[in-house]
Order: sequence, then structure tokens, then C-alpha cells
Amino acid sequence: MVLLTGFSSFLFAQQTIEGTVVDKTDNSPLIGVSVYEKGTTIGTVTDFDGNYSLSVSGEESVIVFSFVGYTPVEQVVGTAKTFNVALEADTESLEEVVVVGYGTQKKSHLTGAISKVGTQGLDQIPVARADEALVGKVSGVTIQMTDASAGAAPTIRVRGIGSITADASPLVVLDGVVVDSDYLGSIDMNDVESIEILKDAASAAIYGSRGGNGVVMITSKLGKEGKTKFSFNAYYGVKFTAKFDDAFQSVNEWSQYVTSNNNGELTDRMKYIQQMGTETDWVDTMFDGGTIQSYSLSARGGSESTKYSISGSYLSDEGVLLTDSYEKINFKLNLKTKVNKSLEFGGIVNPSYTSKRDFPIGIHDALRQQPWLPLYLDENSIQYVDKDTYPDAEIGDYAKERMFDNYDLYGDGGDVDISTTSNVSPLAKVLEREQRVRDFKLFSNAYLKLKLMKGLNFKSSFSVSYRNKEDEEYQGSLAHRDGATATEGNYDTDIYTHWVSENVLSYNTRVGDHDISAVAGASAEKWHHTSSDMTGTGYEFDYITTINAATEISEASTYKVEESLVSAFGRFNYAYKDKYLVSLSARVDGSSKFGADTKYGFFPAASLGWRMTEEDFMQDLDFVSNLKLRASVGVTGNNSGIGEYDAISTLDVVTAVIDGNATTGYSPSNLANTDLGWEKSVETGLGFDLGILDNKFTVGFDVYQRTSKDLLLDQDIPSVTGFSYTTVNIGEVQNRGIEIELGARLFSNSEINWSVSGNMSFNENELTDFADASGLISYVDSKRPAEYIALEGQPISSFYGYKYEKDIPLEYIDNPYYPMNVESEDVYVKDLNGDGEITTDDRTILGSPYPTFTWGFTNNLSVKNWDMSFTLQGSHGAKVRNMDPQYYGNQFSSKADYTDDFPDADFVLDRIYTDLFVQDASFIALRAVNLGYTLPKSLISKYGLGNARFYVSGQNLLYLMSSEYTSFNPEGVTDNSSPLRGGYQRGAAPIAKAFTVGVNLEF
Amino acid sequence: MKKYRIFNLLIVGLLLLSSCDDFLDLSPVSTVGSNGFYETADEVNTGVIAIYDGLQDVVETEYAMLEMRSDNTSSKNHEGEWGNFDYMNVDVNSATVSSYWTYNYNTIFLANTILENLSAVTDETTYNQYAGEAYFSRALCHFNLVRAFGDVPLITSVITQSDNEYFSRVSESEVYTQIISDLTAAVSDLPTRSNIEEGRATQGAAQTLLAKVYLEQNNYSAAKSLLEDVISSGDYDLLDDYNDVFYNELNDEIIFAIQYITDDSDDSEIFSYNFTANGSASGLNYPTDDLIEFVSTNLNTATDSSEFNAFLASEEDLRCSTLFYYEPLSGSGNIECGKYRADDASNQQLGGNDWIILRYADVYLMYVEATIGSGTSTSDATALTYFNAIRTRAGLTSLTEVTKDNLLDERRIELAYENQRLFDLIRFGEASSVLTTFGLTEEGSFTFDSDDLLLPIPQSEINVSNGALTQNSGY
Repeated sequence: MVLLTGFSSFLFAQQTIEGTVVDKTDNSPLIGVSVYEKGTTIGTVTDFDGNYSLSVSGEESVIVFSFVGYTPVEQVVGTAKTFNVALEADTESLEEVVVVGYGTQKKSHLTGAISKVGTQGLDQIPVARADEALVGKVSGVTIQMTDASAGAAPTIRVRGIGSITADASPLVVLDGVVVDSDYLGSIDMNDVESIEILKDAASAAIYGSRGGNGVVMITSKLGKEGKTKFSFNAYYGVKFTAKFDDAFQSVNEWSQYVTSNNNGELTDRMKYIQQMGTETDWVDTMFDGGTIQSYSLSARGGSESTKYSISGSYLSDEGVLLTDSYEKINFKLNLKTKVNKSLEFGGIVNPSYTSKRDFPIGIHDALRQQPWLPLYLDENSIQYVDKDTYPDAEIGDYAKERMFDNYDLYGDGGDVDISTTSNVSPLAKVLEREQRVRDFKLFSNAYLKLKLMKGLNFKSSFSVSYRNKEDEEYQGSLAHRDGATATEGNYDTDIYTHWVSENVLSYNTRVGDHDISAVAGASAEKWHHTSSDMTGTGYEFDYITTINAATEISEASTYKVEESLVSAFGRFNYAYKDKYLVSLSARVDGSSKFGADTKYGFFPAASLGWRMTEEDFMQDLDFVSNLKLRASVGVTGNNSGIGEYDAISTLDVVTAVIDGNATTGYSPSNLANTDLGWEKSVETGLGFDLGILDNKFTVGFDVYQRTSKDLLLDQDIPSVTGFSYTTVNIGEVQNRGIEIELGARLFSNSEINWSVSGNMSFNENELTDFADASGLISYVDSKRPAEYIALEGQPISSFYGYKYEKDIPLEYIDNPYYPMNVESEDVYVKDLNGDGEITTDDRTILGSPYPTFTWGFTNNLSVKNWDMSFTLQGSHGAKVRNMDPQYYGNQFSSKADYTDDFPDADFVLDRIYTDLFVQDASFIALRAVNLGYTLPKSLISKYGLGNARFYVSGQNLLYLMSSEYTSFNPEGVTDNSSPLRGGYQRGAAPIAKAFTVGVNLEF
Repeated sequence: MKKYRIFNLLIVGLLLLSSCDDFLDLSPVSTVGSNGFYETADEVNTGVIAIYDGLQDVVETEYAMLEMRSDNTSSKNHEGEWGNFDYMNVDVNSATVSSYWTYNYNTIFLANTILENLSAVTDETTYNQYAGEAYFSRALCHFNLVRAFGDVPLITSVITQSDNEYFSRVSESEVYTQIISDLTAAVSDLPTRSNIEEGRATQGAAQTLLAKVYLEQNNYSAAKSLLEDVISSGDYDLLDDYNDVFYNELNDEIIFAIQYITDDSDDSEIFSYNFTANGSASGLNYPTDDLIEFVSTNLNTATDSSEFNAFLASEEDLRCSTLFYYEPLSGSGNIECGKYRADDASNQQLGGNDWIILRYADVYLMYVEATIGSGTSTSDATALTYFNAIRTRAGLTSLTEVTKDNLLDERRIELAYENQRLFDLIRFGEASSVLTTFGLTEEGSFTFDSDDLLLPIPQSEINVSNGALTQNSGY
């Protein structure tokens, strides 16, 4: 097409015209206006100053100036060389269009709660994933960096948590097609035109059983009519992290602590450590920082009938941890063409590849190290190695704590032991293991659209997603204290395929004052998942890490599951005089996951809108440019919480050894529940949209209440049944909240543009009914069972435990000075009920893991060629159970480490059971800040460039957290397996900061 | 023409919808639906195999609750949950205890499943064998539970989570009545060793276990008669070399053992690994100084491997070399458990040692116990023959009279690490005095309380029992 355009221009170009296109109202230049010769493929678009230049065939040519939202203008060329055109806004079509389920809708006719994020600037935020870039942009949507390592997915929640077992992530839809939720990790932000989030049930109900957690609708970029436009975007920068080392004391600091508490004396161990003179900063070692870089090239364009977009991108993120990294390669081809007046077809092909290397151990494990331990043996430290036990130790080996035991400090044959663990150095644990996930995904879609009559269209589309996930791990011979006997290679693959067939009829018409649009359709979907797991052990060397080098295959298996879903859906929208708005929708879903009696679910919704500014009585209130009231009610569902075959009882294959041989048996794996059904949410909402002074100031306000019931729960049951849990539908949870979105165009002329926007969300989560499970206690780690409670009247999960009273005085601790940084495992707790003893009745609720208030603020300012933007984001009211101090403080001694006579021994309990570990997770972050300069047109046009902009950008440069919080990421959550155990953090990766420089070029 | 095309498309759509029910009715691919299972003898057999799979889980950490709570062993660094076993201070939230509870009841469920689906087996011999295996396993698990927890729920049929009446604790005597009835059925149903695959429950195993149950009940005559049956069956024998009992699997001395194989993620054990310095808490089930010094004269003073080996050579009791293994690591506590070492596994965490539940030496010693009965000693010739057979194999002199103390001491050494010690002490009425004394030593470091002899009912089970389960006193 590019060639063709150039070719035809060359053949027929006989005359060149040029000029400027401006807006008729304020004479500001219009950028991107299509200027083309009617009936040909000759065309161009206006540049940043509204200028264009075009070679046309001759004097009789008709030139068309067209621009979205403006009435097109046609001109006969004649003899003139210059055409300056002023386009007039077309109020009818200027209206912003919003993507909704199975269609689009005029923003003014919208009756649900939908937030739209234009992607301007999002592609410059130096983060590896599209979803990370949305942080702070939308009210009611929390995007939390629960895992801050390179390439890891954030946790997205729309209007709070309404499920216990099921996945609470929103549904993701790309150009109308449901995709895998991880798609947000593979898409290139440069390909995204806009993102809409359907927040309320009335908008999401057309996605029925999968709309319960909101819907993220992505619209990808497509070419515009005219000359092919290339754009190249790149950035490069560094990633680093804030140091928080209060928890870690240096050798000197600890020596001082010992001296001042131990009658001015150092212990033998501390004397030995001082003599050795080694010191390692483990935070520095493990958080080594890295670079981040991204390159993206696209070509977009088309003719009147065909439009296309081709793009490719590469991103590399080295992460801030020692070994973590993420690479992403993405290609996308988007095409649509009109065969004739009534037939259109098109499609998308979108392959992507990601490779993610993990930091193989928890941060807590990497940092809980003794500061005296060197990384490697050197000439100094090797002198202290116990040669009897480690005769082979040599310079350059990983140092290990045990090597330094048995030291004869006084030369009298005595020995001082300083090791606290038999483990290898954490450096070896990290560097000698490789854990990598490679993901190849192919998303493809083809559709056919038929115009049956005016306003009536039929669209049939078929999509296939394919994903091949390779999970490869190797533990080398130096990674474990057991050496070669602990070597292990794992190779797991998961192949997912998902196809969707969709047939949709849509109808739009306007008869007088009646605006009607309707959609009806049916779809069928099927998922296949095959997983295979292989484990090899007994590697004698580390040269080859694939399983062919293992001496034993200790596991090899494959596993398959399938799921299917059929649906019928419809929506009817009606607007009278653009004033009174009604929207009704419904969906029926049938899922293979459920029992015979509960297979189908029905999900209706209704919403109403009243545009008061269209009423006569509002006409006098000139300053109110827009006022719309909205009310909605809808039902959505969620079926992700149960396994494919939970409704029927199944038998798993097991093996036992009989006569020395593994022998196959079949063992029942669950209790059947044929009544197992959908989780359903009923949501009601009220809201208004207000625009003041020609929409210079806008306010969006929503209040909602969502009641989710028949929650799927893996309920613990008495083990005497043979099983410790079973899946049931139980209980009810409510989310109530208020969302406010504010916008202001503070200043706008041809040189200065300044706008700000902000959003605030308040959400309250309450477990309103939990049947006989109310008061359910759960915990994440059975070895450290710090508790959570699910109690009616409280949030779905609350931290539960004891109140800290005071520490045990040092004099009662057997070994208060070693290991370094040591804290006692136990503390005195409060006797809350005052019965003179500490029992389980002294436990109380220690806080909630869910924020009550979140907000975002975005500023955009441009002055002439300079532009500046930033986003601030905050979250308040949540707490986090931060387990890291237990490790940093080496709180692992048991009660025997206290002297026999210590007072009130019945009043002590593990620190981890107290509020000391439940910390304020509030934060305020400067998410993205961006300063750019666009080169003057005059300078770049001679190089054939349409636009050139350079910028510097920062991510999380400012990150404020509560002083109560004592680790590296208050957003971090390391166990996401159940909302009943929210906000659990043990060794979460640190918040990453980035500083980058970038360029946007168009030509 | 155009209309015709639309018509076609609509037909496709309708077809999709009309075939909905088939489309949504998916059968599992990698698991078996339980509707219509257990309809042939082979299918029932796979369910019996599942019982043995369940027993693999049951015994995997039993040593922590039984041996480490006695004076025989402890964890090496006494950390966390493991240290609590050493100090007789078990937490109601102990994951090990709750797993033990769960695994036992899961195995009981698997046995009950078989007993309720036996009608598919038409061959009488096969029918009896499967029934016997199920009765035996159900009895074994109830016996495990009643000894460890006292009164426990008694489950003799497949129940669901709404069958509240089964969640309460039933008196020990009632549980024992059921155990005896199950084992009596197993004795009559099960084939002898030579008529069944090695490793599955046999008549001899049921007789031996029932004898043990009778001893627990002080029913010495019934125990003795069963033990005589086992001995006269000729199916079992003492091996010449004590070490071979543990490292030459499926030998004649084994009456019932749970089998494992090396380097197999489904069928290997990890206890061997945990018994070394690399295991949890720097090593579990480490022999106490009390045990080492009870068995040997010098071993505990060895400072390196060669000295240890030299001492070993001079030890009178030949079992020392099997019981103790010297690990030349720095620091104290170099002596590890010498039974169940996984040296033949390429991955130490995937060990293949069988876990012995019943063996012939125990039959001999139980015979002596049954002979002494409620007395204090015996000079019965048969009892002396059996008792001295054990001593002779260990290189020790024969006795002419066996007191209860002699017997308890011999059992401590011969069956060390085999989860017998705690129950022996209780059965012999010595638990209180022995454990009080041991608790006062430096390595014991606990104050004995007779409540500690029972494990706590797992708090997680009490939480979900709707009030039916109550806690043991002292917790």
C-alpha cells in the first residue's frame, strides 16, 4: 500500500498545493487532519502546526479535508496553490464514543459507570507491563504492585473484593474479544488506542458469568486514511530501589549495642567478628539494580476501504534484584477492509514472546544474613576457615557460615562457633539457581461484518488464543548445602488453547426524537489446558542443565483439563430526545464446570439516565454545560473459583509401593457437590456527570453497593470425613463505595495547555453473611500460623491476633547478643479480657488488608514545545502482615532460650502472633513524571520527520510510606491464594524506581 | 441471494446453541469420574492400593510425635515446632499433628470406601483379601489415633460433612472394641505371607497387631495365643545380622512395613533426609545423649570419625553400628540415627527406606511381655529362648530370668527409632518416672506433666466441628 501510494503520486502528480487547517472557533491549528484527493489514494495529514502539502493530479481534482468530530470540507483545486481551511466542529459527531460490551456508545448516552483512559503518555512510563502504567488513573480500580519483581503481574481489583475463592481479576477484552487476563503482560502499550473499564454490574452484565470483577476493554490502534505513518518510540534508563536498612545493623553498630548492654564487654563471638574484619551489605548485594529499555516501531495507514496497522516492539527490563529480568517481543498486525458497501472483514494477528527470570528465593531469605559473612573467600577470610572440616576451601569459593566455626580466638585451643545456619551463602542460592518462564502467545481473530439493511449489521467472529508456557528451573550443585545430591532440573510446560465463536446482530436507528440501538448475539467458547511436568535429579556436573543430563527422572507426567461455555446475550438502548436514557441487557451463560441442575445462569441489568442539561429549565443555567443523572442495577457472576470437575466427584491416580514396585491406585480426590453453582453479584449504583463552563471543569460521581452471594468457598470440614475441605456456595459479601473523578482544563491556548485530573475512591468491604463459617480462622503458613478471621460485620478478612505489651528484658534471655540483630522470639502480650491468663480469648482484630481510601492525581502541562506531566497516587487505611522482621531479627529460638526463672512466662507468645507484625500499608507515590521537548517543525522537516520529541521520565521517584512499616514494599503480597488471607507479605520484592530518557519520532 | 447467505449464518448459530448440552457435558481427561467406579474387582483393587498410598503419608512424620517425645530422640537445634516435640510442649496448631490426624482419617475413609464397594468382587478369596486389608488398615489407623490422642471419633462408614453425629470423641474402650473386631475380621480374612504380594497386609500382620492391641489392654493370654500363631506359622524369622533388617528390604523379619522407593517424587520418603544434619531444625530424630550412653560406653566421647569407629569396634552391643552414624560436621551432636540412611538415593530427599511397623523381633519381645503378664519377671523357657535370641544376635550374654525392667531396656535398644518407646513407657507404667527424670536433665529441659502423654486435638479440627470436638486437658 505504501508503495502503491507513492507510485500513483509519482505518476499523476502535476500540481502541489499547501496550506494550514485550523479550527473555526479559535483558529488553533488542527493536527492530523486527512487531506486527500477524492477518488484516489493520494493523501496526507496535517502536521503539528496544521500544515500540509500535497501533490494532486490536476486542476479538476477535488480535495477533501476531513477530521473526526468536524464537518468535512471539499474544495476544487483550480489554479490556486494555497488552501487555508477552517473546519467547523460537528456537534453531532464530535461526541466522544465509549467502548462497551459488544459495541460502542456515545458518551452522552452512557448510563453505566465506565472509566475511559486515553493512552496519551502511558507509553512513556518506564514499566514493563501495560497494566502497571494504569496505576492511579481510574477511580474505583486499584492496581497494586503485589509482586514488584521484573515483569510480574500487578493485582487489579475493581470496586473491592467480592469473592472468596474465585479469581477477583477483571475480565480483559481486546477489540471486542475476550482474551486471557495475562494479555496485559504481553501487549505493547504503543499499540493501544484507549482503555475502558466497565466498573458497574449494569455495564458488565452483558459479560454475565465473567463480568463480576469488572471488565477491562482495550481498543488497539488502527491506521487512518492517508499516507503511511511510521512511528518509532524508544526509551532507555536505569532501575534502582530505595534502601531501607534500619533493620540491619553493621558490625560496629552491633558491637556498640553489645558493649553498652553487657557491662562494657564484647562477647567472644563479637571479638572474633571484629578480628575477622569482614562485612557485607546484603541489601546492596541483592538489590543490584539494572537497566530498562524499550523500542517500538509501527506503520499505520490505509485507504478509504482498507486500514491497517503493523507494529513490533522489544522491551528488556533487568529488574532491581540480582537475577530477575524480563524480556518481551511483540508483533501485531491489525487489518480491516471493506469489500463493498455491505461487506467488511478484518482481523488481528498478535504473536508475543516473553521471558522472565525470577529471583529464586524470598527477599527475606536473601537479607536475613549475618553481616560478617563475606561473599567469597579471599586472602583474609580464608585464614579463619576451619581447615579440618573444610580442607578443600580455596580463595574464590562462596563463603558459608559453617566454614568459620571452631575458631581458636585466644590461641588456647578453645573454639568459637559463630554460624547460625548450615545453609550455603544466599549468594550461591541465588546465582546457582536459574528459574525462567518463557511464554509464547498467539492471539488471532478474524471477523466478517455484513450490513443487512440501514442500521442493521451482522458480525461473525472467530478467535483463537494459543499460549505455550515453558517453566524451566535448575538448582546447581553449589546452590544447596547437600551439594550434587540436591541438584534438580525441572521442565514444566503448559499449553493453553481457547477458541471463541461469536455471532452478533446489532441495530441502530434514529426516528425523530427516538434513538434506538440493540444488540443480540450468541457465543460458544472452549478452553483446553495440557500441562506436563518433568523433574530430573542427580546431576553430577553443572555444565548441562536440561534433563538429559540428570541421572534420575523423578517425575514425569502430563495432565489435561477442558472447559466450555455457551452464551446468549442482548442489549437494548433507548434515548428520547437525547434526554431520557434507558439501557436493558441480559445474558444467559452455561458452563461445563457446574452440576447438572445449576449449569445455566441468567444475568440481567437495567440502567437509566437523565440529561438534565437538555431540559428547558436548565437553559438559564449557562455555566452548567452538562448534567446527567444515572441509576443502575445489574447482576453478574463469577465461575473461576472452582475446578473444571468439582461438581462431580473424581478419582486421582496415585501410586503405592507393593513388592518393591510402584503400583497404580485410584483415590477419591474430592467430595462431589452437584449443587455447586455460580457466584452472583447484584450491584446498584447512582451517579451523575457534571460539566461546567463548556466542560472546562468536569465531575463524575458514583455511589454503589455490590452484594455478592453464593460465594464459592473451599470450606474446611472435619477431616474425619476423609477430606479436610470441600467446595460449597456460602455467604454474602458487600462492597459499598463512592467514586469521584474530577477534571479541569485550567488553561488552553495555542501555546500553553494545562489540565489536571484527579480521582478518589472510598470502598468498604463487609462480610454480611457467612452462615456457620462466621469466625472462620485461617492462616497462610502452617509453620507460622499467624491468623486471619472472617467474621460477619467485618471485612472479608481481618488480621487476627494478640496485642503486644512489652519485650522480655534482656537479662532473661540466654543468648541476647548472638546472632547479630537477634530479637527474642516471644514478647509479653496483653490480657485483653483481664482474666489473669493468656488464652485464645485474648485475640482481637488487628486491622484490615483492604484500603478504605485511594486516590490519584494527574497533571499535564505544555508550554510551547515543552511538556510536563506527572501522576501522584495514594492508598490509605490498609494494613499488611509483614513477616520479614522475624527473619531480619532472627527470631527463631524457642522457649528454651529463656532462663528458667523468667517472670510471667505464661504471658508470652511469639511476636508473629501480635500486632507488631501488622503494619500500616499506606503510601503516597509519585508514579510517573515526564518532561518532554518537541523539536520545532522547521528544524526536523528537512530530515523527513513529522514529529520528534525527546523526554526524560521517572517512575516512583518519590515513594512515601508509613514509619510503622519495616520492609521494602507496602503493596507487596506474597500469598494471593485467597482473599480470606489478605495482605500477607513474606519477602516481597522491593518497589522499583526508574529513571529513563526516551524519544518519539514520527515520519 | 443475500438473504440466503444470512440464513446460512443463522443456521450455524442455531446449531451451536442446540448442541449446548453435549457441548457443556465434559468428562474429566486426566482423572476418573467416580460415578460407576468400583464395578470390577480390578477397580476395587486400585482402591485398596490407594489405602497403602494413604499409609505412606501416615507414617512419614510419626517419629516426631512418638520418638522425639520420648527420651530416645530429639531435633538437633530444638527450633520451632520440632523443638516443641522435644520439650513435650506441643502446640494445638502444630501442622505435623494436624496432618497426622488428617492422614489417619483419610486412610480410614479409603478403607471404608472399599468395605462399602466390595460387592463388585465375586471371587471369594479376593473378596476376603480386600476386606481383610481394609479392616486391617482401618484398625491400624484407629489404633494410631487412640494411642496418640485418647478418645477420638470412630468412623466405620463413608460419611459427609453434614454427618455431625460422627464428629464427637468416642471413649477409648469403645474405639478398642472396634479395633479388636476389625482385626479379628482381618485375621480370618487375610491370606498368609506366601499367598499375597509382599508388602500388603497379611494374616501374620493382623495377628501381630492384634497381639499388640491386647497387650495394651492387659489381655496377656489373648496376646500370647496370637503370637504363638505367628511364630508357629513359619512365615517369619530373625535375621542373623541386625543391620540387614533395615537395609535388606522385604526380608523375613518384616511382618508389615510401608514401602518406599528411591528417587521417585510420588513414592519416596523424606524422613531419611530429615534424620541428617541437612534436615529440618538441623536434623530430626537425633539420638539423645541419654540413648547413646544407655547403649554404648564410649561413643558419645568420640571427637572424630576414626575415634568413633575405633570405639564402635570395642562396643559390646553389636547394634551400635546400626543405631548410630557419625557425621563429621563441626559443633556438637555429631551422632545421627543410623537406621534408614538414604545413601543409595541420588537425591537425598527422595529416599527409599521402608518404614517398619511390625517385625519379628517385636513378636519375640511381645511374647516375653505376655508371658510376664501382670507379674514382674519370668523364667519361662520359651520366653527366655526368644528373649536371648535377640540378645545373642546383638552379641550380648543370655539371661536366665527376664524382669520387666530388662524387657523395657531391651525393647528400647532393639526397637530404637521405631516409634515404640513412648507407648512402651506408658504400657509398662514407667512413663511418668522416666520422663520426669529425663526432663530434669539438661538435654531434656522440660517439666513433665502426665497430660503431655496425649497429643492435643488439632485446633483446626475443633474449629470446624461445630462444638463436637473437645480438647485434651493440659492444652
